[in-house]
Amino acid sequence: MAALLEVTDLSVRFKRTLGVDGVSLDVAAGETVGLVGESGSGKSTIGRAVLGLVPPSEGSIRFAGQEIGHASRRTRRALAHELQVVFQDPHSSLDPRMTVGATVREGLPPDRRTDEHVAALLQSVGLPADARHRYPHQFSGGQRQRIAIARAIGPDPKLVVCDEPISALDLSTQAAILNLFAELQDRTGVALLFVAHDLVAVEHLSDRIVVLYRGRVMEAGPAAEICAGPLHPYTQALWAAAPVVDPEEQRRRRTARAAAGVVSASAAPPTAQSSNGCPFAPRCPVAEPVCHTVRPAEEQVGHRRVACHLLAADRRAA
Amino acid sequence: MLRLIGRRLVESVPLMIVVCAITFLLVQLIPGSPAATILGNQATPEAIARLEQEMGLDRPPLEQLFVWFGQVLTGDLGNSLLTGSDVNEVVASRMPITMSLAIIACLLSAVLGIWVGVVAATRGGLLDRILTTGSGVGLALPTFWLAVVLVLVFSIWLRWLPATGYTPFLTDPVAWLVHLVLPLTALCLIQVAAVARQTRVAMRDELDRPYIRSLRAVGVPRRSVVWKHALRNAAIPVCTTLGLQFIGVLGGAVVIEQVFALGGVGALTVEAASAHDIPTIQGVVIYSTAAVIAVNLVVDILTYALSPKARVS
Amino acid sequence: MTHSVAAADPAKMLAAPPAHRFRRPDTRLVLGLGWIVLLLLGALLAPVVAPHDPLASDIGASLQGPSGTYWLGTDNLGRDVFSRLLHGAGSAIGGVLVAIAVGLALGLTIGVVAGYVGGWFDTLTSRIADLILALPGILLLLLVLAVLGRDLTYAMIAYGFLVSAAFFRLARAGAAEVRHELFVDAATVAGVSPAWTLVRHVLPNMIRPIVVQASLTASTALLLQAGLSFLGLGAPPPAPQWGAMVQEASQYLYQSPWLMVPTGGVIVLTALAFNLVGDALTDERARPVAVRDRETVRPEPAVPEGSVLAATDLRVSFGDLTVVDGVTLAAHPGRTLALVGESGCGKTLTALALAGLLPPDAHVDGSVVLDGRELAGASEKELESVRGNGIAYISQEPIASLDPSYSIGSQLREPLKLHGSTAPRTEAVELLRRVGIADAEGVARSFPHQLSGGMAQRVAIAIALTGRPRVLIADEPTTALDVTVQAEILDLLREIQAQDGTAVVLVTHDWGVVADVADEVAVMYAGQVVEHGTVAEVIAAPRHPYTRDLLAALPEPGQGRAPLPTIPGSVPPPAEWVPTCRYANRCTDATEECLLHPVVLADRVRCLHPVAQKEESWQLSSR
Repeated sequence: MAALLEVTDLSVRFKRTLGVDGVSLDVAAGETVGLVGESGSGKSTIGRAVLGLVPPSEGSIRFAGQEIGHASRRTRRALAHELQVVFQDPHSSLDPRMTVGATVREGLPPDRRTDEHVAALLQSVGLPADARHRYPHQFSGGQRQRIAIARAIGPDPKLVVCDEPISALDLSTQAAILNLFAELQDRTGVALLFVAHDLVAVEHLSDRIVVLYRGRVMEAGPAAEICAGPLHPYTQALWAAAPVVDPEEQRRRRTARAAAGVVSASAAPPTAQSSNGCPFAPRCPVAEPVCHTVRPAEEQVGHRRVACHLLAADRRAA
Repeated sequence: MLRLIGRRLVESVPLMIVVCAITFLLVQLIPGSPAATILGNQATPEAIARLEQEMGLDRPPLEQLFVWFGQVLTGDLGNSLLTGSDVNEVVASRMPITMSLAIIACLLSAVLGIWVGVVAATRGGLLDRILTTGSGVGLALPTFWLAVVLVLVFSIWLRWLPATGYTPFLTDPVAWLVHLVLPLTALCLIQVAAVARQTRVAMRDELDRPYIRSLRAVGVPRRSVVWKHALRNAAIPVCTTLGLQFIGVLGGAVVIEQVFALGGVGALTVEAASAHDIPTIQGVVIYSTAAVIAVNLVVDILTYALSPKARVS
Repeated sequence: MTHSVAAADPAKMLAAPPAHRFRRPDTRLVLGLGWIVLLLLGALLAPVVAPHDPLASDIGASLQGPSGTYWLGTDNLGRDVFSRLLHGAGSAIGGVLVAIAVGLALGLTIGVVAGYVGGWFDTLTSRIADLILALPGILLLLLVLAVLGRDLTYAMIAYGFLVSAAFFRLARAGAAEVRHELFVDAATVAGVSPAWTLVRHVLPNMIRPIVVQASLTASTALLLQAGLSFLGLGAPPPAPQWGAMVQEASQYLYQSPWLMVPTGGVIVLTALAFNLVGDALTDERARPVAVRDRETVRPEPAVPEGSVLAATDLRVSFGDLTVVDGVTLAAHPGRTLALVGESGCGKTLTALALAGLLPPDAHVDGSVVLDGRELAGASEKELESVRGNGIAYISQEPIASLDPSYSIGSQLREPLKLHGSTAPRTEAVELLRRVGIADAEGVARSFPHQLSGGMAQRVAIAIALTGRPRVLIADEPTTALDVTVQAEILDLLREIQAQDGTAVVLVTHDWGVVADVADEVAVMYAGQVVEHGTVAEVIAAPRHPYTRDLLAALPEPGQGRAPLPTIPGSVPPPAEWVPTCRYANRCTDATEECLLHPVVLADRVRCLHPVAQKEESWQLSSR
């Protein structure tokens, strides 16, 4: 099956640094792909590049077979009904001076800009139909995110980029929004590119996961598989650092984490972006000299892609 | 630091050029001949032609511009049409009065305004309301009216201070100060109000920031929190307005000198403006621009010294 | 006319939230607009309304005070001052409008384009605006008048050109800022064209700052115009002009000081009116209601055995709004108490109240006892002596919690000296090492903006440790940090606690963090503690339905994408807090009874129908 979204060797350069450095990933129709990483990993930038909000420096972005990396405004406008977005902060992603109805209507194709359609959309995300007459500030954070979702799914897109869509929400509403995404996907078959730092939430919703560190893919593959047994030392460190809601289990994990000996982010020397080595090498507990000098290739391990010298060496030995 | 000064000086070159060009272009814009405007309605065509030749107005504009630029570069600003004396000399002789006024007014309003602003921002309550309302009214007072009222109260009714005149500092420092009290008060009041408002807003902003809470949390006394930490950060935006204040004070001096009969640059400009003495005004504008550049340089250096973000990296 | 171009701070005003709700209009706005409207009417209807001909002189009645015939007196030629002021209003306001129109037309259009498009056009126009703002404006106006002749309209056009730089800056900043708003990104993704985005989203969000700037400009333009007219550079006499009237009045100071009052007064009032409008629109922030000093009923503080910090029936209110409602808790040496809850439940305000760091308009009731000393109601001086060595506080914004103007070393040395250090320099570096900073000397020399979030939080912890505090209050210390950095910071807190025996009060919304570091937990909902207990008890066997529902809603690893249990509705805002159970309307276990009586905290839970203990086994096995 041809992928709906195909990102190949994407690089995005900001003034001096590489925000995204040779990332490849794909999203099939109806699938959810989670982009995971910490700040500076480039996960949001990838999403923004797909949406055409930042221009890619190198590489290609193909959507439904069409190259959109440097698409013209006209192409983008045509794409708008296929490719949509939900941002992190539902406070600033809605124009405070427009009614909810006007906001939702703005994104719809001309033939569907009717009150009935807007009301139906709002109801489909769990809001009352009369919500369209009110302004964003009259809603709670969770409700605002529902409005943003209604705007995104309004034109029946094939792909929605979700940029940290639940991290600004209250704990008790996060679950409801995750459920809403799942339900919408089941109903409409929309594909999601789910950008987040919350591993558990990403794992909950995603079919596949791409783990990023400093603009590069560390590990990518089926969500369940990666979460059950991360292969890359960075993925392992990331999973080990995320606390679980169980004091006993957490104590065991803490001991294991201390034993693994990942170098602290504040103690590791900053890596030069242009260096050829693995970006995680300065913090990696098992790094070898080669890791500091040669950029590891992404190797296929079962269903996964992993960019680590040691793994490759193990496999060769085996 | 030196690089900053150098850069600022280089950056001020376009400003000087723009100012010179504007002053030149304005003369070109006159409908009809400037000479005709200068000589008035009764002038004969011969007189106008003579003056035009004298002023070099009969040559093509571009040539005039270059000639004039050349003259400005060599420091020749021409002669006053009114008195015939060298503009450089006329302006230089009037500068000390205006500069004493402007610099003292700026410093005074900075010190008083910052103090009032900090007190208003930190005390709150009634005092804040009085100071804020007071500075609001202060900003609405026309300088010229205030100056006349001060003369009425302190010179005519109370007979405490002289209404007019100026004594050079070196001749008699006390008389110098006595003569400057009323003009300075008139000039400063509005500036104090403006600086106080700016400071109050900046201080309020700083006092709301998380680091203030952190300082209080480790037991740093209130005095240090306000005057050492908050004010230092609030001073950066305030500093920028001080540069604008100076431009304002220069403008205010124009009126103040008129009311108090101080023969400074301001009075000179008004005389020249009424008499269409264009070379003199051109000279004044160019000199004042230089003064403004100098003051902005001081402001930049202050900002640079205050803000580690500008200094480091 | 001492004003140069008044520049409103664009960032500030854009930050002000839009006001959609109807509020009683600001008195300043009403007064200011009222005067302006009155003046406009007067100017338009002057020929009809004015009681006298502005030019008709009556030498017999010169320099009179106010009377029934001449409401505001007469001038030296016996002309009616009131009529002259009315007739002069037209040219005064006309000039102001000319200046604003020119300033707006130039500044707004170029500014919006520059801010929205950016690039070289932005750079070039910004430089030009800087140049214009640095011009000695008034002198240039004098030059304009000298060249073009005595007509204040020219001066006002020129002034409009000068202030266009201020409008430009505002429009540019506004457009650039709005451009980076997510809703503009969303519109772009939705395929809305840039021009339409500009009209639909960018411009409406800039109107207020522009109006503010326009009103400030009106005031300065008026004063400037009057000043020029005072200097005799306006229309020649006998035309009635406000500035020239002050000039005439000043000639007769001895004979008729009264004349200064109406002539100057009308200028002052008009300038003030413009300023009032600007001020009212600038800070439309709702002022906190004045704090009513209530009779403080101090309960007998029940200080639990062995605790170092104990709060009893702690209440925090702002005006009539109670935001923390009767919190009782205790922190023990060497142990960590986690305050858990969603935003808006009052956990941060509780933490601030414990540290005595609430804003001045907050009102505190109840008791906070630190080592036998009552802190609630203590003076700022008393609190200063306790802060740092008794209680220290770490906030959730590590970089913003450091003073940007001082080096890290200096920020450590100041409190070290306060707490009696003799060698602050070496101690500062030692403290930095202690919080796990390898390059301690280098970091001591650096400034906050040079640090990463994790590094800044380490520094903030070092500063908190300067007074060797007995209690450390950490308000969401890791929320802004990456998960690997969070683990390190939590390890550091645990290590410090083990070494110093510090009591830690940790505010968090993250149950993973709770499980990682807490010994005891207090769950907060709508300003109250609804459940407390040891971490094992609360997580494994929650007794309050809210705690149970919250824990159940968390996705768990390896669960797949099965629908998660959810809680309907959201946390009510303080204004809607009821005296009865505040969770009842979201609670699946609620009965009629729950809506009838206030519920007290009993047997570690505030609930009439606590979750039965037998569910404990189910909870445990599901994990």
